[in-house]
Amino acid sequence: MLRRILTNALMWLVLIIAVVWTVIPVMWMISLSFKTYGEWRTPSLLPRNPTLDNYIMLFSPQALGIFIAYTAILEPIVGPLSRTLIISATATVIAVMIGFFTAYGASRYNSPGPFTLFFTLLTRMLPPATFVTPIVIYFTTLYLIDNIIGLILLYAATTVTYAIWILKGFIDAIPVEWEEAALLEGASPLQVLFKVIIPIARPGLVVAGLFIFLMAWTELLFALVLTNLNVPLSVQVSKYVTAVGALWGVQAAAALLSSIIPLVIGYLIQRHLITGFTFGLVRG
Amino acid sequence: MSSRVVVKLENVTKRFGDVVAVNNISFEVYRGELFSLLGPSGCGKTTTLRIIAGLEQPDEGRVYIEGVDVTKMPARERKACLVFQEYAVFPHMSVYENIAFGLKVKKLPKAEIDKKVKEVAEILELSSYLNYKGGRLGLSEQQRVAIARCLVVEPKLLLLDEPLTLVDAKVRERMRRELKRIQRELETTMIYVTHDQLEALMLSDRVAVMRSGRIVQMGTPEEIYDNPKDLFVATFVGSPTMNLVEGVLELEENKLVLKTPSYKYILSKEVESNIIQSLLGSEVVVGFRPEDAEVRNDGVLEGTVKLIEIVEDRKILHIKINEDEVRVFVDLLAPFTEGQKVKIRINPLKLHIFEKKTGRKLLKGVVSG
Repeated sequence: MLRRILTNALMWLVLIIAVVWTVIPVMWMISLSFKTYGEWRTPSLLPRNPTLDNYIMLFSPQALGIFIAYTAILEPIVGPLSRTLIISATATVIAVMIGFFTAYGASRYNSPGPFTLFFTLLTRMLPPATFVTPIVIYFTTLYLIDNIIGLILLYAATTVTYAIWILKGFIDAIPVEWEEAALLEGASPLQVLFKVIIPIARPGLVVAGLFIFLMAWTELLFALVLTNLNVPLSVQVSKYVTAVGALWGVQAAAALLSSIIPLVIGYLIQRHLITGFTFGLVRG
Repeated sequence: MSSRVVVKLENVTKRFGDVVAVNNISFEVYRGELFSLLGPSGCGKTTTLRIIAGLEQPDEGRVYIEGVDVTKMPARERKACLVFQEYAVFPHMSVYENIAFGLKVKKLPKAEIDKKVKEVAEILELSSYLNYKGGRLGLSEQQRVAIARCLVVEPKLLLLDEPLTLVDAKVRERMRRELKRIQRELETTMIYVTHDQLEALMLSDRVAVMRSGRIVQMGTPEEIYDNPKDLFVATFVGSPTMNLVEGVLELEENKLVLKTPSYKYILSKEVESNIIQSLLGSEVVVGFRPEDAEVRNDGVLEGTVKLIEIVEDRKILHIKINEDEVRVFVDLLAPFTEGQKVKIRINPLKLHIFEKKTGRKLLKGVVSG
């Protein structure tokens, strides 16, 4: 009995620490985003004079007519936001598509062979910083610096590995009998793919897609190095704190905005996520 | 080739690496026939079925469907549909969509699809399940859907790969009858793969017993059961299995005798003497089925009842005769007790004599002396 109480208490303690650890910074960010300039450096969790000024600054920096010194960084957030949306969505579609066909081939035809498939993991075995210099050189010659196409290609290329390995697991779990049955009833190989495999693998596609979308959404290192004026959201968020001074409240507002969108997407596809994460377990 | 023949296999061989899964087999299946491939797992029966369906390419030999050489024809053009042991139903579609699948991919008009789906659903008693999702069905409904999906495309040939193995015993029995009824009603040509000898005997018009990639014996269920060609077929078919006693054939006082380490069984001299002459001194296995022996007072073999089992409407006595144990069927109500001494008599016409070394059948039926 005592044992159980102790275990329970311990469990709660761990949970509380975990929640504090993850939730406090988020709450701090929310609070900060509603604070006035004078309050940015005060430790209270509740803003004394809640204001939307930071959000107005995000969308139209000139509206308030202050912080002239920061004009250089004060591009309305809409630009970086739409860039990041386009980059993340396109990179996700490309990576998931290539990943799906690669995984399907690897799963069904054992081709290009286990070792070759293993090779795709090599790109993830070095710290990304190692690639910065060569990528900058390549992208300069290809006119891809400060170009969203460059980031799309880069993100698709670096995340396709995840798509392959996530989807291979899903496709491996799909019994080949379903494909054979469809074939024998007269379906063409393409019909088998689109009417049988893709619908069944959809939770996997969603999981892989969300995973890659989030990686592209939050990527900072390459975005920082490879862009100048056409910055994505992650870079824009980092820009509010500079050598000249720090717009803490505006940055908090930008960060909040930047984290809400993945949250909304995650919520919308929640149903698929749950089936996606449990797919292999439930079927047993 | 006569038009009666729907499927013909000619010297088909299939290897997987070093393993010869199917070894030079040939057979024909006739129109409207239910033909079974029976054998233990790994005997090549499923591979044979998949070769007919076109899911595997044979390394040697030819496959004909309705006289056309389909050896190189893709599976989807062969009009041979296969019902799998498992995973036959698409989980993301309703039963209706599952059955309609084969028609939809052919882009048939909606009204026609609807009519056919409902017809087939009726035959397989699936009408009330049409809106269920495939993944939510029980196994027996799943198998019915799988059969419906095949029937709806009106294949020339229906292939079934152990379709009832995973279904509960009770339901399995009913579905066997159903399957046979459907087969008779629609006059579908079916090839049925199973490792369950009882199922094969109950369902089939003809059975091919396979072992290690070869067909050991082919014939009607009666032939297979009553006149097995070798020891393998004899023991594989029939439940409980045939009683076997090893020994040496000898002539003793002008009578043919089976000499085992522990006892002698006298066989008649009425057996054709030239056959006997060639068998004398050879090591043989003598077999008889549990129903071909009776317990009676004038029996020649004496033993002790070791164990009594009840199987449906009969009892099986396990009788120890010297070193050998044999099983004999008796009436359910026959008053036997374990430990009791009994005498048995074997129907001499139903004795099977096999060569011990090769398992080959030497002769069947002798008249006891």
